[in-house]
Formats: sequence, C-alpha cells, structure tokens
Amino acid sequence: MLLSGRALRNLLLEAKPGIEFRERLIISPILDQENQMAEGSSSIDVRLGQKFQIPKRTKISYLDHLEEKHSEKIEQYKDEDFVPIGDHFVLHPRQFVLGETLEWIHLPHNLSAYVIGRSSWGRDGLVIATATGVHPGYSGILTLEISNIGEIPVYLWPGVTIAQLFIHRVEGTMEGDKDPSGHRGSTGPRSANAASKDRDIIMAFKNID
Amino acid sequence: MENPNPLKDLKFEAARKRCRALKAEVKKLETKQFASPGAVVLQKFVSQANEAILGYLEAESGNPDLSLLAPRELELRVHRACRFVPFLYAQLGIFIGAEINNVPAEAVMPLRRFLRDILPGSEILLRSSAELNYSIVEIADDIRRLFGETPFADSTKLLPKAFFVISVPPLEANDILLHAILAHEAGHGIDKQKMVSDKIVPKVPEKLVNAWASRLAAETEKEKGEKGKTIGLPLQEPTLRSLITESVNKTIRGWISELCSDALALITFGPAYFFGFVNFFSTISTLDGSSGSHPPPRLRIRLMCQCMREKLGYQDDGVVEGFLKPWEDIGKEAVSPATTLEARLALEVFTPGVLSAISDSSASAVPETMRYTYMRFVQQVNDIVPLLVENIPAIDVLTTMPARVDGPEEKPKESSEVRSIPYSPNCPAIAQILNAGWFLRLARFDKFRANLPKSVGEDVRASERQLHNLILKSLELIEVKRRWDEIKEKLQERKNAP
Repeated sequence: MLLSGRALRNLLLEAKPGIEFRERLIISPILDQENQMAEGSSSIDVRLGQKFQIPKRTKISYLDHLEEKHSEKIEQYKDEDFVPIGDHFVLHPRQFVLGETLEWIHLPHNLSAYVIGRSSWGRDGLVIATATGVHPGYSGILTLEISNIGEIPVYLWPGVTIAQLFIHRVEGTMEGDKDPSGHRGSTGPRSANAASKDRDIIMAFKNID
Repeated sequence: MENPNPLKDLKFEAARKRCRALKAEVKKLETKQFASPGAVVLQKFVSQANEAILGYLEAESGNPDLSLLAPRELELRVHRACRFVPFLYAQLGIFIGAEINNVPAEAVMPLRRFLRDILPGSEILLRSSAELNYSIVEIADDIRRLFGETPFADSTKLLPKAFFVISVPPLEANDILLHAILAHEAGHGIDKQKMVSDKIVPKVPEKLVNAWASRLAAETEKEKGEKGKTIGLPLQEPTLRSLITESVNKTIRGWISELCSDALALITFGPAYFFGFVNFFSTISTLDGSSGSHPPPRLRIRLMCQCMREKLGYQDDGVVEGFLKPWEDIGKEAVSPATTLEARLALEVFTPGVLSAISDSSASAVPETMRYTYMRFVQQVNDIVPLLVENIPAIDVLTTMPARVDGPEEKPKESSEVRSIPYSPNCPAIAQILNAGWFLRLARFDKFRANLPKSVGEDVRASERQLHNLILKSLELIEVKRRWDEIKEKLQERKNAP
C-alpha cells in the first residue's frame, strides 16, 4: 500500500518517544520540507549527492559478473569524484555515471520504497534509472545510475532534487529486520556483483553430466 | 648614453620570464578542483602578487635612474624585487596533494568551521603529504612580514588573518578518527593568539632547569674527557655551560608550547584528541623519545590525563575510564634508566605543579561554553552513538529526549523535548562526531559490527572502514544542512532588507 503524503510526513516529522531508531523511517537531511514533501504529493523528492563514480577507459577488456575477480576489476574501472554543492558535474551525451542521493534513507522492517527519476530531468534526456526497489530494513544512500541520452551536455548540480521516493507498507511479516542485500550501509555510489551467488552452479552447467 | 649593465638586464629578463611562467602555472591550477576554500584564496594571492611583481619589473627595467647606481647597489636593488619570484613559485607546492580527491573532502568544511569558531577570520588548506605525520603551518604572518614595506605589500590584503596549511598523511586516509590530532594544531593557533605558553615559562622551577643544564654539561665534560684525546672538543667549560643552558631553555620553551597545545586541544575537542594522540604517537614513536621541539609522549600523556581529571571533570565511571586508566598508569610510570638523559631530566622539570599550571592557563584561554567537559562528552555520546551503532550517520534525526542546556553545566532538565540529533550549537560538529566515533570504536564496536551486513561485520578491517565512512557521511551531511540553513537565512534577510 502506497503511503500518502500526510502519512509520510507523520512518520518522518513526528518523533515518538520510546521507538528505537531501527523501527523508524528516516530520510535525512530534508533541506526543504515544503518543496520536497509538497502538499498533495504521495512521494518525497530526494536530492543529488556530492559523490560520483565515473567509468573510465582502462586496460580491462570486459566485465563479467561471474568472474571471481569482478569486484577488483570494478574498482579499476571507475574513478571517484567529489563535487561539492555549489559546483557541478558535466554529463556528456551518452556518458554514464553513478551518483547518489544526498539523503540517508533508513526503512523499518514494515516499509519498502521505489525510486523514480523526476520527469523534468527525463525530458532533457537524463535517465535516472535506479535499482528501483528498496528493501525493508535498508539503511544507506541510494545509488543512482545516471546517463545522458540527449544530444548536448547536461550539468548535474549536487543538491538539486533529482528523483522521488514512493514508500509502501509491506504486508505480512518479514524474516529479520534488515535488508538482506549487501548494499546496506552504503555511504557512496557503489557497484555490485549481480551474480556471485549463482556463479558455481552456472559455471558447472557445461562440465557436469 | 646609458652604460649597458648585463647583470641587471639578465636578472630582470630572467625574473620577468619566470613571472610569465608562474602565471601559466597558476592558470593551470584554475582547472583543478581543490577541497579547501583556502586554495582559491592562496591562488588569488599568488596571482595578484605575481602581477604586481611583473609590473614592477617592467617599470624598473626601463628606469633610467638605475644607471646612476654603483654596480653593487644596483645588483641589490634588482635582487630585492627578483627574490619574490622563487618564493611565490614555492607556494605552488602547497597545492600538491590538496585536490579534492586527495583528502577527505567531507571533513574539510567541518574542520574549517571548528578552526574559525576558535580563531575567527582564519582560513585552511587541507592537503595530503607523503610523510607519516600531521602538521599545520600558519603562512599568512610570514608572507605579510616578507612583503611588508615592499611595493607588492598590497597583494597581502587578500590573505586572511591566519592561513593554516594542514598536512595529513595519506597512509591514515582511511581512519578519520585519527584526524582528531589536528585539534593539537588548532591549539598552537590559540596558544599563539592568547600567549598561553608565555605565562608558563616563569613557572618552571629555575633550580630544576639549572640542575638539568648542569647534568648535561657534566655529561658532555665526561664525554670530552673520554674522547678529548682523539677528537679534541674545542669548547671551554664556561662556554659549554652557557651553550647548554641556552639549549635547555630553548627546549623547555618548545616543549611548553607543545604541551599547551595538547591541553588546548583536549579542552576544545575533548577526549577524541587524546584517543587520536595515543593511537597515532604511541605507534610511530617511543614513549620516552624526545627532540628539541617535542616532549616525550609519556609526558604529554601525563599532562592530558591530569587535565582531563582536574579541568574537565572526567570521572571514574563509564567506559572512558576503562580506556583512560592504562594510559594514566603509563603516564605515571617512571622513565626507564635506559632512556636518554634528556627525557629523564624533562620529566623531573615538568613537575605536577607545572603541568597543572599548563592546564589552568589553557583552560582560562578557552571560553567556558567551548570547553569539552565530561558532561558534554556523556551527553553527546548518548545522543549520537545509538544512531551510529544502527549504521545510521549522525544526521538531522528528530528524537524525544530530556531537554538539555547547551552550556558549561549542561545538566538535563526534567522535561522532555523534541529535538534533532546532533544538538549542541556551542560545540563544533566535528568534535561531537569524532568523540562519539571514538567511543563507539572503543566501547560499542562489537554491537556495531553485529548490525553490519555479515560479510562486512565479520571482517574487523571492513568494519573499521564502514565506521570511517559513516563518520565522514555524518560530517558531510551535517555541514550541508548547516550551510543550507545559513544561506537560506541570509537570502531571506536580503529579501527582507528595504
């Protein structure tokens, strides 16, 4: 069930004594409540953070998520950059970078979220595709996969609202109170290995009768 | 017709050429992104001073009056202007390692805020340098002195009251908690402004200083007796004695300055400084090792433990005690007879009375509201650590807690209030966060690790790295929020202005 704007505001802005942090919805800092949680809206706008990961041309010939050294390769493949608020990052046509939300998002075990790029950016050719689902129990910044599919460079200014977060209540009970993914605790944009859990079985398909 | 003077022409031409080259180098800096706002200030100063020198050289090279000067006078006059060019060029070295991705960029603005709270009007430039040490150098004073009374003095107007170049070792880049050591460097700034150490020098018992000098002189005499036959030491006893007394006095002055900066760091920054100190210095040097400028770490530990107890009210409860006690014992231990004579004598001269005087003078140099008392430490730890333990940065999170008074006593009121964490407008965010971080590292680390994803929590180093990242994130977000609110307020004021 999607939470209404009012329900969101109640959860975020009312401190209830006796509730532990892990049981609370935390989205912080909210720099401008009025605009980020506009009346009538059922989402909260999140801002672009200050850290970026930029793919670079290297000697690495390919990426393979089934490869054991995938994580090491990823580190060599990307540069990190810190762009303070007030400055900007230039995203050229067909360039792809990882960005982050400025806000830290902490979901209790009974809430999940979806992140979607703001349409006004999309109309300029900026695609903010995220791994849109955020599990209950997640705590961290959200990594944003940003690409420019337009024809001219676009300035990315950290601090601007770039995406929106829809929060849903989870039905039924979760096992445990933490997000099972390895992304929990992310403090900056982060790549991940998508297939490490399946590596052994997929690699064995060819060789075992 | 004017006599050609090849030396003058050569000097002028070379200096002008260098100025133009320097201009191109400064231009290159403009394309780089530096972490500290101080970089822009320094860049502007170098650029403007360089322009002024270039203009002066252009004018001087065509000055007909110069031909009236004797060759030696002429050379000196030309040299007086040209010597600034290599000086300015050397300033470019400060920018090495100061680029935004070479330093913990998130910590720069909170650190700057901390320094400016203590030393208003100061500016910083944070850089990483390839040595295993933390250092801070104030450069504005020297530059002003050098440029004063010259035709280029105007360019120094761009410089702030104090300009601190802070170097951190890249090897410690992944341990932001150690950066609490920088509070010592801020302590030097306070010492300089409030002249704390000057008040201590007369309090060092003269009898002990003389005894120190006598014993050193006796040692040297003995050595002279043993080696004299082969190397022949040239100095006579009275000369030797006077030189040694001079050197001892210089050492005492240097050590007092370091000890005062330790006390000031502790008073303004809290135990995070002490934890950073022992974790860094006890691992890179020996406890009784000293130099002419720096006292042995054992003496510094002794002072800090005493100051924490006597001046800041640190008590025998809680986990801090568990960590302080062993260091307190180390500080009190007698120095091994195997150590240098200098270190042994030092500990005799710096009596508990002298150490108390250092703590007293340092405490009175810091306004009460800025003292990092035990009460403040306990409150901030209680506020911030529960968030960090849950793997959440200490950011603007609303909470309902007993209301606090953010003053020197800071006793909780009986009523409750809704407020955000961290909350302590009189205490710099960087001190709050690093103290909470140290407390977590020393006392709640297992709990913290248990809340991390399994692959991280099972690995100590990965867990430490996560704590480092979380603390940086806290510093980053607190600074963004504060800056946002400040700018919003200023814009509103501007809008409301008639």
